[in-house]
Amino acid sequence: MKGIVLSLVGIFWGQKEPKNMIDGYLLFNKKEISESSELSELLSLNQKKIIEKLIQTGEKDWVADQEELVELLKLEPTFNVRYARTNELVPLRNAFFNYVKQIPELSDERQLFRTIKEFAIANVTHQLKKRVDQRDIFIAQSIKSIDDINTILNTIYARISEWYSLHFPELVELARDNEQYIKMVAKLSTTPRSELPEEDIKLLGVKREELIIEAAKNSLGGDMDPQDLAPIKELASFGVEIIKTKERLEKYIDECMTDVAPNVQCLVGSLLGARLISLSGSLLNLAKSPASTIQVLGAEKALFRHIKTGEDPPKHGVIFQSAYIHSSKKHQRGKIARLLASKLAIAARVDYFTGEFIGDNLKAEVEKKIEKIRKESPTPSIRQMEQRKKQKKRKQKGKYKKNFDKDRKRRKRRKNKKNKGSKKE
Amino acid sequence: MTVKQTYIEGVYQLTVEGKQRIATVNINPGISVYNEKLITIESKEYRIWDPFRSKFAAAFLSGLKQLPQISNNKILYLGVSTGTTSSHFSDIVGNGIIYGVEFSHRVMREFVKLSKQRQNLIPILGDARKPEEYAAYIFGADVLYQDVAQPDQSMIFGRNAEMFLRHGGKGVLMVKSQSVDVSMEPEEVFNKEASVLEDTFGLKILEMKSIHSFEKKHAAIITQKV
Repeated sequence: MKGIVLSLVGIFWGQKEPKNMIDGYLLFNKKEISESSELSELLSLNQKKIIEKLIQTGEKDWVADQEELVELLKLEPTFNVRYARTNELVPLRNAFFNYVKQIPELSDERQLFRTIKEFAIANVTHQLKKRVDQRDIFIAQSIKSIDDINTILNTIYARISEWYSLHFPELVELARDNEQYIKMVAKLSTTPRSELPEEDIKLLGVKREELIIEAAKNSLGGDMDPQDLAPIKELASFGVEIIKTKERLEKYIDECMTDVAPNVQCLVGSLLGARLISLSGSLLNLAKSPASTIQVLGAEKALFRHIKTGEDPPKHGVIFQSAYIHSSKKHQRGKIARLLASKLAIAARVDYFTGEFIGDNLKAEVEKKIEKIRKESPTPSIRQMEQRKKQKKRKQKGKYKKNFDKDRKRRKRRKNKKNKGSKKE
Repeated sequence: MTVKQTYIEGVYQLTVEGKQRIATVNINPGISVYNEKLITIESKEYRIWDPFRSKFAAAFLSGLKQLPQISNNKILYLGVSTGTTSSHFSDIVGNGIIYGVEFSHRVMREFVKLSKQRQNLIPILGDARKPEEYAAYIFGADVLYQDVAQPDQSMIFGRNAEMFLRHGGKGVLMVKSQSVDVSMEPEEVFNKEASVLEDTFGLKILEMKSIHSFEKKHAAIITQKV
């Protein structure tokens, strides 16, 4: 039985314990090394040569620890190949490090390093390019951009509302939200409000046209010339463009989610699904996460506070945004969050590994179980009511630090309970 | 302005405007890698080594006396990131080589750019938990340096030391206590990691010290493979 080691410049084999001596090798062609970007590529170029030379040694039992090498050796039916146990080939590899210095073709260390580096750069470049083929990272970038845009939008809204309110303060209350206000200002700030034709206001398409017309006539705001209204219109138009960009991004996320993670999308929608992917880093990371992690993704501050101080753990992270949770009664949310997270874990795994669509089934299961939860606990249990009382009390007293000393015993008890398994008393 | 060689060849102690700094001689004069200050003294350009950006510098300035020589050695650097610390290793290493292993694609993109400017940096995109996957690139290491912030840091360090570090070679492990266990005291974590290195991997602990002046809850453990 011989151990065999793969390096960029060639293959080396020899006796394992106790001798640990290299007794044969095959070098790769320099041209082939510089033209390959992956180990498997380099090996398949030399496949025939390698197997022939190894057969010549007369040895049939081979041990290797590198996957590409094992796969290659298995192709030869007369060989008996197995994976090395942990550290089984370490001494042989050490012998290889020393052996290389004796080989004339490899004696120039600077040349050797140059060869390794060339291949390494080709390999890394190749791997980086491959990664971009997976669209889940684009989803993460898009949802982060939407958060960036919202921050910018809030800032612009604050500025515009302050500025335009010098002229027409009543409009702020009459808008449904930030975005609608910005859109209205962009349209209305072309003319001073006293000259606003009623048709223009009707064109806004908002439901409070009457109120706006009234307010425009009797406003407490000062007069402003079109010249002074112009910069406000500039700013508001810019805001409208940003809103359009955000809407296009949301559409893009929607399309990507349908392509990349349709099951997750079916359960919690495109935006929340994208947020989950972004928080865990990639769809693969989300698929690897246990349901308990998915349940609290986004609530890291509360989670680590719980770990450090023994306070109650968070019941939900960003999945709170799902209507299943935020529209439910407070005492049911914990159970629903746990349930939803476990189905999300399944959804993410199917999305990454098989691409089947089982979203409808998962959604039906979730809804059925939520019905059950709602039926079985329409009112909080006694324990839940006591928890609520404690939380209210703690919040009433201000920061939890005030109760720190009182909670010390409780924290210590919880910590000891946790460490019981691992600590030696 | 004075220049003094420290116990590590290639690392100099400069006294600039009354302040003590450490620095390396720039092999790419005129180019700053991470916005560090460049100072020319007697026609040699030095790059100031920032201990708040590089943990090796932090370890040196925290008084660790057993840090390994870098010059003319083969360095296996796990967790090379964008290349802040390894750029200084690259200034010093001379005829040696630095194998930079990093797991993150985004960060490796930056490191590849750096490695194209400096001959002695080799970029390896791989998982330090599976040394077999990049073993083909490594031709033995004289020094192992690790800064990965993972819960199984000591296992990663031990396995790589076993596979690649030569006998008598030094290994430096930068430990972030929060990566291992956020609820344990840092001292406890450092001792636990050190005992794993000793008991599971048979590495000799030469020196262990906290670098809290520069990086809270971090320590450097210097080991040697017998």
